[in-house]
Amino acid sequence: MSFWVNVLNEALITVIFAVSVNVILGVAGQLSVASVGLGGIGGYFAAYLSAKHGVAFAPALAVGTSAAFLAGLALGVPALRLSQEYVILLTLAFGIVVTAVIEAIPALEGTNGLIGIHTVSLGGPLRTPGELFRLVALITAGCLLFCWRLSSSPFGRVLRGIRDDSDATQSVGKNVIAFKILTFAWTAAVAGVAGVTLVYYNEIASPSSFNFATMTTVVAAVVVGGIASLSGAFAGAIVLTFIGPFLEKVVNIAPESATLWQLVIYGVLLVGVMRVRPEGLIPEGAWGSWVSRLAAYHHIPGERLAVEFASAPVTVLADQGGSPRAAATAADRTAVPSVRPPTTNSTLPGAAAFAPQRSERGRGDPHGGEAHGPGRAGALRPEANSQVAAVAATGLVKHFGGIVAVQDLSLELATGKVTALVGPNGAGKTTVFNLLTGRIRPDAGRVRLHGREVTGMPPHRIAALGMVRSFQDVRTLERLSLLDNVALGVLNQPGERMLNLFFAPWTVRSGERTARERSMRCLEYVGLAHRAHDLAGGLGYGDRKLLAVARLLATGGDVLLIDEPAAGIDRANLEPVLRVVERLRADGKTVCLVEHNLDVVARLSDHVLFMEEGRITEEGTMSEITQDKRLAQVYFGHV
Amino acid sequence: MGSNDVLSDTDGSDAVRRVSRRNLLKRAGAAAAFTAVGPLVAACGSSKSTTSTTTGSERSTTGTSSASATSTAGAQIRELLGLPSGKAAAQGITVPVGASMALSGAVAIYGHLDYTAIKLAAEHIKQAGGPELHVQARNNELANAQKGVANAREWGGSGVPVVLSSGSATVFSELPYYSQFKMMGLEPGGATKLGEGKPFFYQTRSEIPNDQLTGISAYLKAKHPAFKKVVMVGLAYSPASDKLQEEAVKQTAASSGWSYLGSFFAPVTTTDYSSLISQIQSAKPDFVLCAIYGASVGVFLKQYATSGLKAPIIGFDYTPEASKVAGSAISGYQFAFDYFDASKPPNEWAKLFVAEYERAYGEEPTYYSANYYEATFLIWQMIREIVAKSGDPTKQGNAYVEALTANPKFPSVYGSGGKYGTKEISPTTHSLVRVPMVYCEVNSEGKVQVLATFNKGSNSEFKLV
Amino acid sequence: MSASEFFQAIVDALVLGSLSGMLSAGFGLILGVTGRFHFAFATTFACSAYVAIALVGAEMPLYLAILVGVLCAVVLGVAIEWLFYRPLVRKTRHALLGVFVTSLGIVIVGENVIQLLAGSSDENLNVGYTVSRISFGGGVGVTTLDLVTFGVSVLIIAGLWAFIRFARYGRAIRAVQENPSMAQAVGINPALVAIVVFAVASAISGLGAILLTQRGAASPSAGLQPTLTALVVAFLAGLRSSPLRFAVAAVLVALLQQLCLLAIGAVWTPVLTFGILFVYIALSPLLNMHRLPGMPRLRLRPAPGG
Repeated sequence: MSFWVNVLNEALITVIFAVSVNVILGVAGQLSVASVGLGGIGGYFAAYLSAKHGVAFAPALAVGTSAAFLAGLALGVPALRLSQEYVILLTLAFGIVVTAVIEAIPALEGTNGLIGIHTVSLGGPLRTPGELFRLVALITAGCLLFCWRLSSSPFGRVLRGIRDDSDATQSVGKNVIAFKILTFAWTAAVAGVAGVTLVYYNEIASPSSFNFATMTTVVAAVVVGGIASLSGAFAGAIVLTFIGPFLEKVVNIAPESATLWQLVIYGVLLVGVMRVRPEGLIPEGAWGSWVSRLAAYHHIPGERLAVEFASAPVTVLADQGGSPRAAATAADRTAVPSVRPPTTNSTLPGAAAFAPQRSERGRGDPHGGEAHGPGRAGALRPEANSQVAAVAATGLVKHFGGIVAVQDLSLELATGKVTALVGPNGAGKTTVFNLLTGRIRPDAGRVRLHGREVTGMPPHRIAALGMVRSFQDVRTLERLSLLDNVALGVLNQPGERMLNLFFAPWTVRSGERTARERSMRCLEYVGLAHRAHDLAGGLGYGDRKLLAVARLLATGGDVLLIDEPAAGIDRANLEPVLRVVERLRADGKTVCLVEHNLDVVARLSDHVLFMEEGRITEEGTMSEITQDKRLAQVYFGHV
Repeated sequence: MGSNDVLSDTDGSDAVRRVSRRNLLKRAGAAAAFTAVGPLVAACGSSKSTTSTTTGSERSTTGTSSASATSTAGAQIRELLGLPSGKAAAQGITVPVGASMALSGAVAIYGHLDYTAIKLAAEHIKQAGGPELHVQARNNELANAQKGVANAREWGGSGVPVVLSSGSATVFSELPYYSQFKMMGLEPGGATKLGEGKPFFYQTRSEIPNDQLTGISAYLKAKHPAFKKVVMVGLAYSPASDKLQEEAVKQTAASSGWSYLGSFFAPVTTTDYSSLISQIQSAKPDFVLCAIYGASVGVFLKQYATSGLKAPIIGFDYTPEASKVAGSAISGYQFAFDYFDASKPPNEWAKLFVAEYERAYGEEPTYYSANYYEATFLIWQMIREIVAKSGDPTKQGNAYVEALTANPKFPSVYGSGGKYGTKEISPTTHSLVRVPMVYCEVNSEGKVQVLATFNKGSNSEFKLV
Repeated sequence: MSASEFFQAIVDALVLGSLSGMLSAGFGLILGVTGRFHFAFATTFACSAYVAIALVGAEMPLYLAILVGVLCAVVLGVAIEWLFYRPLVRKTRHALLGVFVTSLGIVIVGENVIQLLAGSSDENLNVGYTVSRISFGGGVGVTTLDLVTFGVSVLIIAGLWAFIRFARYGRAIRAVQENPSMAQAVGINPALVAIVVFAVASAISGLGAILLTQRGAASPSAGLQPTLTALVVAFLAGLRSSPLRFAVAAVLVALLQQLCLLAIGAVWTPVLTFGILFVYIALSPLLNMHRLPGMPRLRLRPAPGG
């Protein structure tokens, strides 16, 4: 009996390592294999304090965990700027250095290991596996809870966003760097807890507990279990730890060859599981999806409504405000006949729940004071702001090596209007988007947003100030539901702060409800509400473009830069996208499009900027541009 | 070349059989019939000792197979060692014995050598009218602390009173549990000063390298008085053990009038010794002390032989594996330690042991096998002692330690002349105070020649052969 | 460290580095072209050595035995790709880690099957000629075995370089390496390229195993350490760079290791070598090398159809 309790304890400690790896590797997508090495740091700090200085368990645990936390922090900083294959190499080297240092320091007793660790007392000394089970189970439960909270909260949603597309996540206002470093540090702390628990459990700190082989076992446990699901990491660690002892008892032949046969079977099982269930025993979202669906029905009344829409997503209903005006203005501005905008019964979601965001933007926005009611952005009245440029860029220059991508470019995006950026391939249109949103820094020149200098700011800050962009290649997060894709865009969610997660769960709860409601309304706005709980990977290309717009809307941004909304969509699926853009204009958003399809440009844009070789050479209405003789000859041929 | 010799001296021509055989030093074709079926037996998973008819079909073998030992062996041993019978011999009692050894991984060879000997000893003990030893063999990969802890906990929890262990890293991981469960741990595989005086833990081998150095010093003084300049090369196991070895060599150098030129170490995982060879080359010693163990000795010698350096290598270890790996480069290698010379068993018990071991497994026993064999008999001795004092040898507690303290001398297959040799363990250091050792040289045919015998301590009884 | 030790270290680093450069070129070829984290490189390695040893034991001529051993490694490597990696990669998004776990399983199986068949003791393989030493004077020299090791390694690296550059399949490999989807668009079959890559790399692992075994000994797990070194060197050199770069990186790593051994001792050598590696990678972005030179992104997802 105590044999199996011992195995169970070992399995639970492996679970702690596994969930730590699960969060950093599976959820945040950072290919770090440092967990076991970090556990070694934590474990040896605690063991040394206990064995050589008689420090009690609780302070030793605290010191060990802190040491691992700091080491994780230190590891996270260089890992930030490395591509993933170098993160593997960095963390691999880290792990090897840790064991090598342990083996080289005489005070740590080398390969023999550090013994003399004091017994833990928890209502009497804990020595036997049965007695220690209480402690191990308690600590494992704590770590599981911590990691579950981390990965299933809005914080975890951001991590998944970073994993699937770091740039896209940053473009909707997330401070990717801070999230990454925090995750490195906190998963390191969890690994540290595992290390401390292990040395106390074993009553010895040995380098063999934290070496390369242990690391591969833990990673294997996570992959076998299911890389991005916490239950998968749990299952993987339990299964892989139990399988050896189980075979030991079942393959009951002469011990010499039995051990080898057990290992052969173990290896075959690893290969077999990967062959049969490559996504692991419990893949990401295996049961999470229906749990969250259930939760969603429970918490958010709006969603039930949304699902009822499913049969008629683009029903035209009487609109409460923006649409008639939109139709009118659209008709005024373009020769292309306007259709009635696609509407639902929703208005554009506002930012009421997220006061910090609004006030921050308000500081730099001369018109902020005019906002009224929920959804200041949505309520911006175009006629009031049409003379003022929402975005003004002056003298932008960008070189890539010897190539000049953008030279001395200045542009203005008029508030509440749709501006189109057109020009031949390689003219630098996307680079302009990158420069405006801070994804790349200009060599010279300035960008102002609502009169506020934003040059050199990182994308997430510019996004927080109200300017967001979509990508040419859409960049939906395929492994997340539509709702989560959009919810990622909601700024300043209380659930994205670690302190709130653990000390203000009620705030997190209400914040998440608000974020979901808001996301749902954004999905309704683009007509995708009926698919809110599907994975984004299953969407068609046109729907992905709509989803990208919904994500932009969720940020509450009022300046939307949309890269090639029509590209790659067939005619049948194009219409909903165009209608959404028209509706955005009608609702007072400032929109800038990069687009090649001139029919689309003609239909949507108020103003056209023509770009060639890194500069704007012409501007005006669509008809002015197309009538330009030179441009007509060089670019529009047929005109 | 020698390596060719090693690979071609077996009879028959079945390729798989050659590879499957672990005892490449074996000369005669006694086991030829068994080797042929070896891989099949292995493939069926019934036994790893492929050259043997012993297939130990149970996980916890108690020596039920009669093929591995003749029924007379037990009686002969009882007579040789002058042992009692019946109740005094603890007949009818079943004692669980833990055995912690490498059964998988890079050094699983040691587990094989240890386990075969323990099985044989358990069988002999039973035949000799002793108790039934219920041997519970568990894998420790020789350096896996996690396994060591799990095994020690399992034995501790199930009441095992005595354990035969191996590998310093695993031994250390088991130490806390020896005292926690009052379970005696014996380490017959290797001993160092680091393991001295640990509660419930006893080492039954010479302490490397301190014990050997006295013999080496005496031999060189007698045979090569001109040898003065010495370096030591070794594998870096851990700072503590490296320092221990260095200090021991320094001390011996001082007392022997050698000039110590330094100690050079290579990483323990290495297969390349070019840095050591280059350091020997520039130090220009008269002789080299070699703190490399197991098959690695052979790899080192192989590379050293091609370097053109002539300084003789004197080591603290020699196994048939080293010879196999080194091929002809083994020629001239000298070593000193408690080596078991199976080709010339030093006493009558040793003769019987060698014959029985060869009969059972079709290969010559190595010193590892000899150590575990006699250590298993030491367990029987302690059991008899406990029974004599009407204690219970099946229970954990202080009984085993008291028994060993009361009677610290035990019969050994080492030690020349007579029926059996004697080893003696110190109740304070928990390490041997008497251990017969030999100084040997390996000739070009891979044969070991004993050049001198000596014993541990100041009164080393050094004798040239 | 004396002058002779220093120069000897350079000579030794050239010999050992060329060998590990060859191995890492094989390992890196697989990782760079197919994105497979082929840890079971260690298994094809051991397979070749043990087959050759068994055949030499069965009186087969040495060079024929080596040839058969290397061929067995090729067959095994291709079989692993075809039977395990390929089906896995087609089914999953986490190809890198799934392949890693699969290959870990294969390594465990391989190691223990060898042990079941051949026993756990180390095995020796003949050199086939008399090893003698050639002295350069001043205590610096090489053995003929060193020269053969160096020569074969350099030959293989150069051959691999030429193959990738000039041969038809080699060019296809390079095309896939540089742009998988483009390569497919021009009619290159990535599955076939993967097979070729595994065949070439497994042959290299097998040959490396023979050379290393001749210098030392074979054991069922002897391939792990060289594979780990190959991994480090391959990453350092840049996964998709030319085999020549692998050789240079490997020699530098070997030299660093030799000098550390001589200057600071064995215990601290892994600390220092991996420490330097760590610092180098950690600082590479700060040193304005956003990516180490010549370093494209590793594909973590399978190439379409691959």
